[in-house]
Amino acid sequence: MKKILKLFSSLRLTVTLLSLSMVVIFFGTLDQVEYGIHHTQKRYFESYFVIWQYPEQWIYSNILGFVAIPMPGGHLLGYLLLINLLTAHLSRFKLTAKKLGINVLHAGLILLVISEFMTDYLAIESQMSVNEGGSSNYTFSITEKEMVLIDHSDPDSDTVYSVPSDQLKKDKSLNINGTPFQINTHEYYENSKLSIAPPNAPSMRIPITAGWGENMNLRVAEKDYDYSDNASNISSAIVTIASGTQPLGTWVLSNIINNQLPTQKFEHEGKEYSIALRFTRYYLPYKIELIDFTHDKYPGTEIPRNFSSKIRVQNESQNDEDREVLIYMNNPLRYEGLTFYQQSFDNDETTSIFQVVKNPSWWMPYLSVSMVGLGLLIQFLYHFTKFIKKSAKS
Amino acid sequence: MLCSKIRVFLLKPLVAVSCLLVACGKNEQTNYKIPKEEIQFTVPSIQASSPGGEMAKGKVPVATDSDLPDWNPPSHWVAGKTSNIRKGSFSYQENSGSKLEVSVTVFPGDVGGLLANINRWAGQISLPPYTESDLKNITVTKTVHSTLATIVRLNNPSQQKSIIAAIFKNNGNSWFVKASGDQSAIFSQNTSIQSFIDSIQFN
Repeated sequence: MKKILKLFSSLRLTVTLLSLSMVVIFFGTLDQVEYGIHHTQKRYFESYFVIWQYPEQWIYSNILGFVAIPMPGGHLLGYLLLINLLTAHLSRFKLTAKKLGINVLHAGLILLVISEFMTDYLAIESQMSVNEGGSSNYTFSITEKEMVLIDHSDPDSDTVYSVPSDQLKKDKSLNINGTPFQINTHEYYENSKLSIAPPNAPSMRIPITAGWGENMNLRVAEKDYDYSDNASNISSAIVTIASGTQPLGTWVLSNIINNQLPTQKFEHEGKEYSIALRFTRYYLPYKIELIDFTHDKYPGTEIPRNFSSKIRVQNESQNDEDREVLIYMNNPLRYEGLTFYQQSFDNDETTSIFQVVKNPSWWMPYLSVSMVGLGLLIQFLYHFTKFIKKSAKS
Repeated sequence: MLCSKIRVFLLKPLVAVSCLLVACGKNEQTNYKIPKEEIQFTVPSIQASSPGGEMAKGKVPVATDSDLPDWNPPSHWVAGKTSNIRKGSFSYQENSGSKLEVSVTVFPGDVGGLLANINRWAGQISLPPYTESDLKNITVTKTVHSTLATIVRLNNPSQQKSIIAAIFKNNGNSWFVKASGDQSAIFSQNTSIQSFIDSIQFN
């Protein structure tokens, strides 16, 4: 036990882990150029192990393509660093004035590592898109997708049953919890091409029997995933919805269909349902209305000077709160645990796009950094006063 | 002694937080209620291209109920169920049992173009596909209440099935009025079908 404790609390382990962190950052940065920030973040920093592969986009990839370097992922390094810090801190913990600064500093570092994990697991980054004169009560992820089945039978509200797209696996069936339906996924593509079948096109492996896929005789083909940061990959799925042993139809679902065409609906036992594949939505208990979006430029140039959105927040759950707010660059709206940043615009400057960040642990890095600073200050003052006293004596 | 107590005191919440964090972040099914939504089709969208072509990004207006044209169906046709795609639905059955169905559907864009749509219908009554040069033999264009309509007639004598259809373009959408069914019913209702097509009036 002592040996294990010694191993985990050793400074050698700290140095090794920090060195490995630098290696992971280095190779992660290399891959970020080819695969974009989201993919790299997930692969290198939100994982336990990762294998760096010589990128096929590089020169001599036909010769060096076999080169692969395995390394620990960010989560593993983070947990090991946390254990290392904790064991070092606790095994050498002494409640003395001499060690007070060091203890506070270490506690700050431990809190910093924990805050990173908290942010990783709890923070949600999404977007909100609102047209001038329109309003929105949800934000949507730009990376995560969901298949939704919406029950419209209640006259006052809709019930959304959301299945994360990760669960849509080829030729797998799953129950949609809370409904009498099963979904059988025939195909799921992270990026795809939708086209209208030419005359005499061969029939598909799975015939489409419902919705826009049937009406427009759509064909779906897989495409290489585009990792660039501004890419708009089109996710598509071919699914059969069944109730018990009774199939209700086979649909083409795609975030691009859902974006444009009227919702795909079906009826079952007198209830109306709709189905869609879309970017995961996060609904809010309030509405954001866009009154006006302005895009100021420096006079006589096309250089942007400012983007701003005049919005109205309407919140019935907060005593019918109704107030106007101006969001502009570096002046976000912080409301009900979310921060709305002005991010972009679209549709000839009539649609405003906000980046919406929910991070319940946002205060932790501030506290931890303050603790580290305080620890250093205490330690410095302790030694400084000791030095002054010593000098005075001599 | 005090130190070890403090160690235990510090360790417990840290272990609990770590366990909590490991348990978090799982992708699971959820369900929740939302207010009834008015669907807006405002985000960058797709447009149907020529057959075989990839759907391209663009901005296509989608018909709303306010775009619904006026029409006047014959009184002997039985109105059927409509949906967000099928804006009008009628059926008729003769005493002999032969019947036809009339539908009014709307799609954004050109839904692949005239030839693709005609060939889709041709396939429905087991006719071989047409080529571009055949179009002049099976289509006529006419103006119906200031809107240009393309009238298509397809007949498959061997299967005793026929289709009379009209395609209207309005506000970026394609409206299809299609009467399909048994040949005898289509022939006997020819005048009624023509009158119905002629009654379509966009605001």
